[in-house]
Amino acid sequence: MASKSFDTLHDEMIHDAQMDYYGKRLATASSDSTIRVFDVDAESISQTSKVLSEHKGPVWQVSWAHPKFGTILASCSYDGRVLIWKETAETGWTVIKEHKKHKGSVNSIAWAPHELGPILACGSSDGRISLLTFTEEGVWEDQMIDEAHPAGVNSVSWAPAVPAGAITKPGSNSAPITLVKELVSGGCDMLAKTWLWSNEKNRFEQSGTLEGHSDWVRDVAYAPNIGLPRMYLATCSQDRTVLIWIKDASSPDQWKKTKLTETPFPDVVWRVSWSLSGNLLAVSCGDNKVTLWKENLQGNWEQVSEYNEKGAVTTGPSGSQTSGPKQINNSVNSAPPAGTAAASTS
Amino acid sequence: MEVKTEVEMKDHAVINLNPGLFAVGRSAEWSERNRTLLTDIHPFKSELVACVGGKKAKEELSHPETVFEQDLNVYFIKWNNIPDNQLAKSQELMEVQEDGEEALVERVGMEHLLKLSTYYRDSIMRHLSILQGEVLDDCDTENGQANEEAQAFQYIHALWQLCEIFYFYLTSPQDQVQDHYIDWLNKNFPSPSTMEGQSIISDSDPVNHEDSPLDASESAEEIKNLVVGMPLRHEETSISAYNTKWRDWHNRCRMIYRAMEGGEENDEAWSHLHKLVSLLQGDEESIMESSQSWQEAVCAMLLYSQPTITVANFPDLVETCFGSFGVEESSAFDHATVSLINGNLGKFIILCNQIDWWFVAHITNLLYHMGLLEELDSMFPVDMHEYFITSYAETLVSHSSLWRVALDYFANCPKSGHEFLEQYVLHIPLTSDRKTKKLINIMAKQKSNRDQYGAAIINYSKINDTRNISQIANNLISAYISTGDLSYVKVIDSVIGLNSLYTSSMKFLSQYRDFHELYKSQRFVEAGKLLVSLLTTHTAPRKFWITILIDAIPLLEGDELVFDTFETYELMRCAEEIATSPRKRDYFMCLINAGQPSKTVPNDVIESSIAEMEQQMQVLNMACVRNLARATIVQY
Repeated sequence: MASKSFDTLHDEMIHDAQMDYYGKRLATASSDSTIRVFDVDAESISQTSKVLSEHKGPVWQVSWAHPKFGTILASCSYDGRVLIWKETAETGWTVIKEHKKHKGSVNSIAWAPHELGPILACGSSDGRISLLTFTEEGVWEDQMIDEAHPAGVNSVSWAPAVPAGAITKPGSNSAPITLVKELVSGGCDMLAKTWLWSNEKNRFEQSGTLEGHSDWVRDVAYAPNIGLPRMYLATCSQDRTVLIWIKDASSPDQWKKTKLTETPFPDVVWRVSWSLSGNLLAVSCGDNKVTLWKENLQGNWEQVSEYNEKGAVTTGPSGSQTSGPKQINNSVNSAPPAGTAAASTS
Repeated sequence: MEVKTEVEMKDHAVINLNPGLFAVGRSAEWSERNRTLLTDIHPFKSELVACVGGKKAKEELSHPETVFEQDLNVYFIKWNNIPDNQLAKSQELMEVQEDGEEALVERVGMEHLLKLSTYYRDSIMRHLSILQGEVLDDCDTENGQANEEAQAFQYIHALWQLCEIFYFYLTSPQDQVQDHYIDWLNKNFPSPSTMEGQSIISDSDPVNHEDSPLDASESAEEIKNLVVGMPLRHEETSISAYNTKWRDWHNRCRMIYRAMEGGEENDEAWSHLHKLVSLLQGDEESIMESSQSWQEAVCAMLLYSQPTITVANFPDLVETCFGSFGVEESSAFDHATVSLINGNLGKFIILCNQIDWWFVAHITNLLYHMGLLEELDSMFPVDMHEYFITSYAETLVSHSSLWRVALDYFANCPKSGHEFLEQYVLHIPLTSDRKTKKLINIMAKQKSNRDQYGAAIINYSKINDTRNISQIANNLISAYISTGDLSYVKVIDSVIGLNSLYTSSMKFLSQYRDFHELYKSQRFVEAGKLLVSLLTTHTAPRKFWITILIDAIPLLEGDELVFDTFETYELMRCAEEIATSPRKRDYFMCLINAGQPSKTVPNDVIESSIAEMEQQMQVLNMACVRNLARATIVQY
């Protein structure tokens, strides 16, 4: 089990850390109003560019655009602004767009799937969601969803652009697929809401309300849907629970809700994050643990692994000597625990 | 400053980080003090980023907070990490997969699947012997890792072979199990080992034991004869002969056992012999007592109690033995073995999944190709076949060398593989020309498997792979011969203009399609000229000549004169060349087989098809002669 760590050299707490599309760079956002960008490779981590310090308040989140649009990073801040940064070889990082239509802290940002073009969704404490689009005419346009979550928006996430089950048939290359333009938001009203683009009205319309949490919804995340005929969505909350919402391609208006665990997590669940293929969910929580979850063959969610502070107790300096990698073991341990009761091995 | 952090994987699937992000036992306090944990999964690897996160912004706090160094660290943590020292082994096992899949493409029935299965097992055995070598080499240093791995591979091999036995060899419920089971046990769990055997032989000689009372040594002699005289299935010519002999022998065992009753029960030697005979006469209780494992007990029952047990009754015997050895203490391997024997494939696969990911991916692949997974479709919400292959492949993507293998696995999943492939391929940074070429090649192969020939050709042309472009053209030609449908050829329209893909077969295909277009629009003269030029310029492959010549018949017989004398001569020359060619039959066969892909054409069909084609060639000859006459009149 290899692991590496490094000091970001921020002056205040970190609020976000995001890897780019290739996993070669990492951007961190901090309460010290700055963003730092690091180059990551197998051997080392280095900060090659200057500190990005145009924000006037804590930076909540950063989001990398798809590389086909260039090296673009968006950031949102307590100062109520969203900045879009572009890196070029000549000038390094420069702000190419300042978006200041929000009247409160901007808490969350997310780039749309690249198929939809360069569109950034921003959720703010002013209760609104804004959509910032770089048009074909070369200008930025913005659109507001008012009163999305009147008490404040904490998180936004885009649905995969290719609908679930659309390309499961081999050789289906004839009809063009209609892309989905939909996003989900989580707010202080304890709700998650989905918003679908309406071509007729030329704006986003609310398409669903996901009721289930009993406190602020902290994070929402649509799963990528490779090879599956359904859509997955994870929401986590201050109520210490994670809910998985599943929608079958056959009944596209119905979200089925499943609790990730019956017993609540020990503390506020802060982040949910899906793997590339959407079959693994990482949950991080105020109890100092990251847990990995996978849906097993029977459709239940099971914990694959967790990592926490226990290592400090169980292994001293010599303990680390025995932590040699064991391939067979690892693959046993991290296999989706799909056992029935009878299959128990202990 | 860099903090050295070790992550360790312990039992129960817990990854431990040492040192932890927060002080031990203080996580509640940390949570109250505005801290939480942030995480982001790597865009495509089995890796994540984690760091301490501030819940509220600095401005939102009533008191200024103190920030510690560990609050500002970011951690990269990998799971499913395949270490470099295992790379060679992983790759070796991968190669089997690749070669194996080639064989599967042909889908040629159980016989080939069995070959494939054996191939896998051989490679597991090879890998196992390397591991066992390592264990022996390192006996001083207690190489626990190699030892554990060797054990795991031993289990994998045992399950694989058992699968083979029950799904390839013992296919009827009336088949007898004994031989196969004993072979299986000896091969996978030899006991006693050769060394132990030697020591047993040199250790004691019960017959001449000095302290034995007389009747014990007499019995010993008798028992020795009994053991030596035990009939063995492979020594007999038929099952019934074996049965008869075994019954006789069994009766002798029982007689001796009865004769021994009331003997010197206090004498140690005697009681050993008594126990031995009770084993030989198949006493279940004694067998369970004396066996070291349930597998061994099953073997003893097969030898001494139920030698002719069939596949249908075998599960009951196994359950009995397994039950008396304590189900609670058994491993996933034990349970998997029993499930397999019981024919409970769903449970078997779930258990294999707990044993090893490589194993479950490949064994389900085999079961899938044998058509055995269909019955499980309703049991699980996912496609089991591709679920395990893609899950395994995903663990390989992270590796700097194995990513290529991972993509090959994806490419072998017809349903979802393409989407996995596209996602991962897009994320892999292109750091060298070689890598780029390989990626394009994989994508093209996948596209061509999915009949997306146009896209495949574009991909292949980017790397100047004319061999594969020709292959696609040949596929399209075969597709035309079998279906008469040329609509496929449209795909090449989109790519015409890229001159590098103008291989001869692609050129032929394109022109042949033009011929049909001309014919359809009744521009017969142009169509005819094009057809003849396909022959004279050698654009058409020889195997396709018959088709072209037959295509010419309606043009020869039409109202309009299409071919002039020269062209007619050319048609006749080609017809003659086919008729006198030593490969004539091959050309016919080629057309017949192309019309019947995946099937073996019965002989009578072949003969009647050839007769029909011969007849058409006769028609052609006649038509050519008539046309020659018409053309001559017009020309002169």
